[in-house]
Amino acid sequence: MARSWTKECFKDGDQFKADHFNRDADGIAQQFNGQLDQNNMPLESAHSEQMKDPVRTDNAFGVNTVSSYMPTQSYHYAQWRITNTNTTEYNVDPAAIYATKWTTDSWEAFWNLFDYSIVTQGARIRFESKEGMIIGGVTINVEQRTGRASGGQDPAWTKNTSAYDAMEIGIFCNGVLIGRSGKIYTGAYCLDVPFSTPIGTEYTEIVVKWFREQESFIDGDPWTTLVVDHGLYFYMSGMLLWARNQYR
Amino acid sequence: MSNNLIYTNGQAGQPSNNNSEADGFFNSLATDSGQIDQSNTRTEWVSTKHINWEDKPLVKVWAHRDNTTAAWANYNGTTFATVTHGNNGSTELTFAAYTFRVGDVFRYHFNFRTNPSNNDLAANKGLDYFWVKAQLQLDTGAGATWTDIGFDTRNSFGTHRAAAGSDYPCAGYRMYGLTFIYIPNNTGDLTGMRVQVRTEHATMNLNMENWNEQLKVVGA
Repeated sequence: MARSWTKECFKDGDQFKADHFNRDADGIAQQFNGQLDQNNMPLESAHSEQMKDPVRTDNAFGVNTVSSYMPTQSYHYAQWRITNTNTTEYNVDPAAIYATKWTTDSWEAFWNLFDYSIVTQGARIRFESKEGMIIGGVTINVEQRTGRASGGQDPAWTKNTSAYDAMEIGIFCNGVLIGRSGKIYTGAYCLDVPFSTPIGTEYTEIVVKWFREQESFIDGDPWTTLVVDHGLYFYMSGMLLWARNQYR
Repeated sequence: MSNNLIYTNGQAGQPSNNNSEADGFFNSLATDSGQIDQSNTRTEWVSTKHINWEDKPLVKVWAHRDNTTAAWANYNGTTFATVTHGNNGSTELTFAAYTFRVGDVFRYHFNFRTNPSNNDLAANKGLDYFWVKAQLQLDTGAGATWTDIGFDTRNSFGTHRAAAGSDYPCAGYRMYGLTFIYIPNNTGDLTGMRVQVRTEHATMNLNMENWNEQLKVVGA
């Protein structure tokens, strides 16, 4: 609302002059229009912590997390990268991919950790968070394939296995599930799964876990002879996990 | 009656209703005051309560390009080739050099849509992969070089890779995406970004439609 008064006395005929208002308003206008960057800045309203360069750390907590701590936020990531474009016919090569088989490896009934002796980085990040929010994502190549089995009531009959099995990716922050892909069915997919969570000022670990259904048969008819074992596997061939901590 | 200033102007002893002079001044003052709150950065130094640190991290580079025509293109090379189709040019987007520093954060995202593929999976068993990768053009002292970031993303056209058994296609209308973060440990120049794709076998066709590519460099 515009000002409608002045400290000046009115003149004869109830007149006020524009100069009267201008003079009063001048002090206010000066504060708005200039000098704020020096004399009027309260002490410690902006300090060096808010203007310093980012600080990069690498592998500060043993899981190959690369971090950049900045004045208002921090970024963190780790990736597992292999050369996975050379594959032989009929196989899900190369051998460097992460492959786990439910008949020989110990799978949990639900969320499983990646084997860190193979997936040496990318499946988890660790950093020092400040109170605020975490947003982030995991980009990951996951894969499961149908297999082949014969048997059942007619041994000569062969059929695909695992065609209706689902797999899933979950992201856990300090042990709490904060993001998940939902069910993904047979094939090879690159997923881009986002997540977010509030966070305190603390030591923070974000972990990616996987889940895969284990040989569910739509007709409940167990196979007797395994022809192709691809349906027993869960594969992962690349992963980048990242998070941004936005300070409160 | 409005709150506008009404005063008498002109000569002493002579009434006047000329509002324009003082009204104009105060209107201008009010307008300027409002603008200072939003766009005059000097006022942001007054108090941390007014500093928008949380919402406005400094974005140093924001490069982006979209293909929005829904025109599809077919990629079937077995060596990586740049995705070039679209109404706004190739995914290979170059720009004026940004000199990055240690700790800058590169935040890259690409997404695209695939057509239903007419690949004959039965005749091409076990050959159903395609790969998508992202590259940045970086110069860390030895000349500008297209450098992989993240990893080679892997997708399949089908569900079955064994010699025996049936297959069904999983390559329908799908949206795929990838997000990569890169935090350099050195200084250099950033001058471009692009996406490359390849298929496992030349008989397999990756049909790509619309895509969106964007890169931000943030640091504050």
